[in-house]
Amino acid sequence: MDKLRVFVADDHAVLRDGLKALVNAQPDMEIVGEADNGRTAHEQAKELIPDILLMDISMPGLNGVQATELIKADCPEIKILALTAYKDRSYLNQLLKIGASGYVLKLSAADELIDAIRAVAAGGIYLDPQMADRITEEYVRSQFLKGEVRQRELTAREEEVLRLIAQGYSNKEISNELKIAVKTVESHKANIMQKLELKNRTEIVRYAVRQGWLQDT
Amino acid sequence: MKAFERLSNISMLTSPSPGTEVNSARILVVDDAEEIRTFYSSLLELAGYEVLCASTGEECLRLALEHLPHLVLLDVVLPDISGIDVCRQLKENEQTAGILIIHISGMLVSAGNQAEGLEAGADGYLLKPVEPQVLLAHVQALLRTQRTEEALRSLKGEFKAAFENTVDAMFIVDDRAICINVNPAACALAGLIKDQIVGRNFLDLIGPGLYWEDLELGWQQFLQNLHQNGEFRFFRPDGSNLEVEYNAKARFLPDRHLWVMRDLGPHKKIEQEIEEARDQMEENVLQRTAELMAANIFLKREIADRKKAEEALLAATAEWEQTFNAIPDQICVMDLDGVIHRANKAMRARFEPSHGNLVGLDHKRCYWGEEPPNNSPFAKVLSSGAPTVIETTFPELEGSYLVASYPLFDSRGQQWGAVSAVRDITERKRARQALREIEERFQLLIEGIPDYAIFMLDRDGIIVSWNEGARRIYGYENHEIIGKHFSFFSPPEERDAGRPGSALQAAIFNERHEEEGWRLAKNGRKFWANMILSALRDDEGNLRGFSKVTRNITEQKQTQAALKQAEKKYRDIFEYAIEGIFQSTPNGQFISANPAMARIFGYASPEELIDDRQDIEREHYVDPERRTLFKKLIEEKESVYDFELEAYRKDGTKIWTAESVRAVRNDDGVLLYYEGIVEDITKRKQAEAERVELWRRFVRVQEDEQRRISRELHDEMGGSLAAILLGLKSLGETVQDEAASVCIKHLQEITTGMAEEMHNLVRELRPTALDDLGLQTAMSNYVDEWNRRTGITIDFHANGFLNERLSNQLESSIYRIVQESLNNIIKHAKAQNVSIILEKRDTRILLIIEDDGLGFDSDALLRIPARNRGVGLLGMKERIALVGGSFNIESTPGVGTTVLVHIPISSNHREAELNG
Repeated sequence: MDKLRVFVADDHAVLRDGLKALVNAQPDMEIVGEADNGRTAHEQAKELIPDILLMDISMPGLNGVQATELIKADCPEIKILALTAYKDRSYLNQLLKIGASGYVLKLSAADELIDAIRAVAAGGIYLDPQMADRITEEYVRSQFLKGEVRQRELTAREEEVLRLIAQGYSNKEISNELKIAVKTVESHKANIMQKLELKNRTEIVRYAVRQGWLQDT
Repeated sequence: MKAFERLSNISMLTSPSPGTEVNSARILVVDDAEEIRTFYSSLLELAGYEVLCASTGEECLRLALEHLPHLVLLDVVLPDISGIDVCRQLKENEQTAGILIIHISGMLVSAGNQAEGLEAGADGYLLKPVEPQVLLAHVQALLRTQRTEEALRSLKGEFKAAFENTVDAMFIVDDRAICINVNPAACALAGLIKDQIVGRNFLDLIGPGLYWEDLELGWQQFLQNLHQNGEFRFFRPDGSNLEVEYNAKARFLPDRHLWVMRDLGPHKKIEQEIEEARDQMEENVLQRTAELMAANIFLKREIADRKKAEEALLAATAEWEQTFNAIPDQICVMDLDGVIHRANKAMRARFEPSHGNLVGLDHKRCYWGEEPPNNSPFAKVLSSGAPTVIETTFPELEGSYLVASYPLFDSRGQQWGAVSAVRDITERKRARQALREIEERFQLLIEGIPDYAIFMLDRDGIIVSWNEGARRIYGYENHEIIGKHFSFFSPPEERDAGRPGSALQAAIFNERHEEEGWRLAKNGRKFWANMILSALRDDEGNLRGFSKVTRNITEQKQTQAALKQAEKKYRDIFEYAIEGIFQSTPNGQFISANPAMARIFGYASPEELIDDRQDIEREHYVDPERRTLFKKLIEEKESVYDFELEAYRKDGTKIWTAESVRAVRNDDGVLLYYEGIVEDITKRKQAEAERVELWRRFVRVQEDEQRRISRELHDEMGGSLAAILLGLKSLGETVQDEAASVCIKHLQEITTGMAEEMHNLVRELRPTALDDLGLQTAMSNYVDEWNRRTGITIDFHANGFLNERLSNQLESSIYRIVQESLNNIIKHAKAQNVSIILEKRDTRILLIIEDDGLGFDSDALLRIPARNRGVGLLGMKERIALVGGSFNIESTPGVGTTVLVHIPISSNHREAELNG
């Protein structure tokens, strides 16, 4: 029964020591190497090929994200568990996209890290519970929006106004462009939002993107 | 014996026989021989004459004066004075000149003696021995001639007076249209003296005004038609002309034609004409007398001659009768009792139908009926013999009449009556009345003009009348002013300088003279007056006086002065202002500029600047686009404040200026020109630039510092806290002691709290995510946190940031802008929903932050000077300005607020993409 081979990359020495102590205290785990920056982590990992690599995201030099990308490119079998101070879902998305297997908030590490290592080692994905809530929320919303249908037909003028709003024109600019009063623009805007059940300008923009009026990059 | 025989013969001769007249004449017989005296006196007394006798020349002269005999039989040879001399003396004496004289000569005399006697004035000449029949016949003939002559003279006098005195012009012409006689009125009408008219062709005289195509033919027609009347214009030889009404009668005698004309204008100098007429008449009488005497000389021819003369006289009588009747005025001859002797046709036509035959009637019955007044228009001429012309009305007649009367005298100068002409002048009067009414109305009008003092001055400048306005303006009463010279109102210095006199001269010369000056009212109030002096002339151009119109224009003057002062004030401001002041046309030319304006742009004078800059857009603006923007702004708002632009100076260097400009339009709204103030803000601009640079540096330092602290906290403190938590975890697992376990648990909680606080602190200071993960991620995190913290729904949409990083400065700026906007929303908006859109489009970044809060009047807010708006907006504006962006707020009270930010992306702002 081989112990899980764990590598720690963190520029914070005290924390690194604490992590090492925690991992080594486990009977089935051992620390096989450590690094205090992304580059060293990348080099060491290629040599040591640990089972699990605990990767601090914010490190000087090559940061955690970049290092993760490089390591996954060279050694895709190394499972990388991100350690971060950020409660950041887009960050999470980015990490997952480049091949990270999990995500643990540093401050939760004392409670979560061991479970996380085990879960990732088992081939699963681990998300910090605090983050998981948000992911779920977002997923539900995006699913809801997909099911949205156009409620009512817009008039030609309303569609014109809608396009311009989506493109970021101010009411004043729209009134100049279409040679109508600012009040009229405001009234069009209110009608559009009511007809399409859009709550705010952001939703108008998103609607426009979905209609293909705006190029989403 | 012989004498007796002769006497008896004579008694036969002289005894009255039926049909012969009674010889009532007085005869003076003068002969030194008593026998002859007795013979003559007996003879004459028998014939019924009253006879006086004288034996000497002296006695003859005395008796002639005493008794005024009708005839003197005068012996040529007398003891004292010769009969010729006596005759001469009698004829020379006015009193005795009318006495007929028959010389009786005893001598054989030659034709020369006879001639001498006749020259001395004798009326007849008989040679001794005188046959009684011859003597009586001679005496009778002479006396009859004299009586006829007297009657004729009286009659002629009547007609003559009528002819001479009528105000109508009368021309008597013959067949060839030669003027034979004219009356004074005709002379006055023609403007010629009688001698110039008589003998002249009548058609030449009046022809030009007649509407006859062919004068000769017209004349012939007139002679055939006998009557003609109408109107024509009488062109007088002096060039003037008169409107004339005429009534013509042809052939009132075989070779006489009468033209009566009435001048519608005023008749003139009647009295003088009458005077002349009387002289003329006397001349005529003398002439006629002489003619008759000549007839007396040749006895044989005498009867025939006399018959001829009588015929001529009858013809003359008819002539006068016709004339008399042709006159349209009512003319009558009356005696001193006012009894009518003759009346002309016009008068008869008027009164005979009601009064019957007028002859013998009191003229007053015609004009006053039963109750004649004591003092009639005719009374004066009858009582005093003075010619009169009176305008009057009569109870029996309608209308107004002009009555001209002239006394009639007998041969001895005794007034025995008068001739009067009554003319209907109702029409003329009515016309005059109308004219007067117009004048009165005009007068009322003048009186009624309160703001104008109107004076009438005579030729010397004496005030004749003035109007109510004058009284009001000057404050004097009528009696104080009328009769004063108009210079009364001039200030003394003007009077001393002779101004009033020269004003009159100027008015005479130019017809009108206008001047202004101070005038003094009675109450001592000085006022500035405008005065117009006009010459008044009659129809003939003679100066009659002046009118003077004075207006008080003090107020006008004061307004003008105030205007001038305001103008000067404006000029001073314009000339001495530190700011440049200009006017320019929309197509880019300067209309005016002040010296400061020229100075700012390095020109020596405003004129040089105006000449040099013909195209403001290109020659003045460094950036022509700014001009376009300027025009757009002023088109929208009519005025532009503090519009900053970089402009060229004359030498080509650039300066920064701030313009405040307004558009000037005409009443129809057409843009005429711009008007504005220019300030040289180069120094201010430099200071601003320095300030911006300092600000930029400050922001960078601040960001760097915050980033450093944030990083330190995030990485070091965060790591340490995580390590502490790890340590406590390990410790908790090894410690068995219950109390120690509780303590460890407590320490874990404190540490976790600290970590949380530190986390928030980091986020506010500067999220490391911004550096580590980019703008979109950092903002997304921030927005989530903000929503959690405030409970306000926030919707964030970002597009275009995942693959490309912006510059550090730009990312922090945008992040801070969002931060500040959201802080403002918490503080002011009371919003339920917030929307944030962040997009990158090619070369610019668009950031929109919209809320559904209270909103505000965004126009009003933007007009508030930046320094008063509050730090929030200032911070945002300054941050946006630092990265070269623009910023716009739209807000509607009750609907919400939208903040729109545009930031251009220059190459400096781009950084390496995340993935290299």
